[in-house]
Amino acid sequence: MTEFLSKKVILAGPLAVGKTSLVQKFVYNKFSEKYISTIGVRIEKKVIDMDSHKLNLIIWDLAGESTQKKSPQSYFLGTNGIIYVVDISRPPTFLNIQAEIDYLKQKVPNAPIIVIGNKADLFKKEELEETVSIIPVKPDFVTSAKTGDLVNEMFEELASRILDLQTS
Amino acid sequence: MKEDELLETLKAILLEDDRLVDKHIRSELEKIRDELLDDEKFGSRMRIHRDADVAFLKENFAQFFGNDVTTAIKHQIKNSQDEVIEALYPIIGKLISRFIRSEFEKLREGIDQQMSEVVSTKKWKRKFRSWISGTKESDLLISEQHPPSIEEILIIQKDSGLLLGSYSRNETVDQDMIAGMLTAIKAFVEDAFQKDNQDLEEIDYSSYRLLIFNFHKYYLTISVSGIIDTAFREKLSNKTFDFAEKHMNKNIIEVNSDLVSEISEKLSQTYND
Ligand SMILES: Nc1nc2c(ncn2[C@@H]2O[C@H](COP(=O)(O)OP(=O)(O)O)[C@@H](O)[C@H]2O)c(=O)[nH]1
Ligand SMILES: [Mg+2]
Repeated sequence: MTEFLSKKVILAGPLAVGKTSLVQKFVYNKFSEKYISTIGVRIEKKVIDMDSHKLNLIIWDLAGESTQKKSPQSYFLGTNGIIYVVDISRPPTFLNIQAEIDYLKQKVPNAPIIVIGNKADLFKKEELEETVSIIPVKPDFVTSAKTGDLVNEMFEELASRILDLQTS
Repeated sequence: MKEDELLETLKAILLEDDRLVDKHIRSELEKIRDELLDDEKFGSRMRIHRDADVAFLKENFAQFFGNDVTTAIKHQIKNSQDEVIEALYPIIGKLISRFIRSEFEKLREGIDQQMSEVVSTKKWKRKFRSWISGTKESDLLISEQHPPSIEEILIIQKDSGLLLGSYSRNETVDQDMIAGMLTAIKAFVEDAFQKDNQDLEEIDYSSYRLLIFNFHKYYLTISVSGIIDTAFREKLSNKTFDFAEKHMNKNIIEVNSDLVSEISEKLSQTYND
């Protein structure tokens, strides 16, 4: 049995939804309130222990506005998994979500996509469900990079979907 | 500077083809020579007013090159180095800024060198050596005090940027992340300038030079310290093509530790001597 597998993952979504914060929470387990606007791409790495071996996730944290314009097309090549993030407190970040996801699916046909609604901490528990229900595509996880809520879970879910796809 | 102009500038700076520039310079110089050697036009004046002509030549030399790529680049180097770096800095961070800074350096050197080379060949040597003053011959002398040495080799899958194997003299930064970063930089540069058939082939950073060998599905980067001479470069490419032929002729389906350690093993066998 091989010791590790390497996979490329991209983090996509509009600007300032919390992509960088999510990956940094996950990688360094820290959160910065400071506004970090990423233009281009930032490469991060996280090794996840799976049952049989390690998964070496190389995470491409893409700059947003629109997936469709800003990033060089070749950033999408060779991608094994996608995390698409929106900000649940800002509807403009998810109005176009279906089109964006369709675009990504067409760009990267064989990679699982996980949809994330981020900034859960900005809502009270009882408001959360209603808030999330207006998002045209139901998120797989409603996370908070600030509290760390479900951040590890979303990466682990992506990891196992990537492996499932590989073995199926 | 507008983004378009910026990209244009960078396009010119980063991906210009040396041979093209060289050819361009040669033909421009041919033209100038023909005009200057035409007695009706210049000959007598030249002989009579030699000093004035030297000045004329000096002054007009640039003019002849007014539309020339080299002049444009030189101009850009002078005027927009900081601007370009400034605008790009946040885009891909430290690495590319250093990379661009050194690309500027390299180009500046490259152009000076090419000019001098062309100028000092054949008839030019005879006709112009005394006329074109201010050519710093010392600039042409490439120092040979630092022999080249391989510091690190990375083999990287082109599309994904995943590390396929590595060889390193002294383990430094995380190679997986460097592999991704380099792939992103490469993609950014190649994409932004939309030169489909032009792959980025060299990156300078700090005291290293990164040579990039492009293959179909992967590329190989070799970082070299010291001054790379032709012999070294040639030896390195021969080795690399041999290596590719012998050890990289498989279809990679999955990037796993078995593959990575096998390739890394082969790398150190090949390059460690
Ligand atoms: N309250 C809250 N703020 C967040 C959260 N995630 C990110 N932010 C903030 O949102 C802004 C943009 O975050 P960033 O990670 O740079 O977004 P990116 O452009 O998608 O990478 C920053 O000010 C972050 O501090 C979160 O879960 N909760
Ligand atoms: Mg970001």
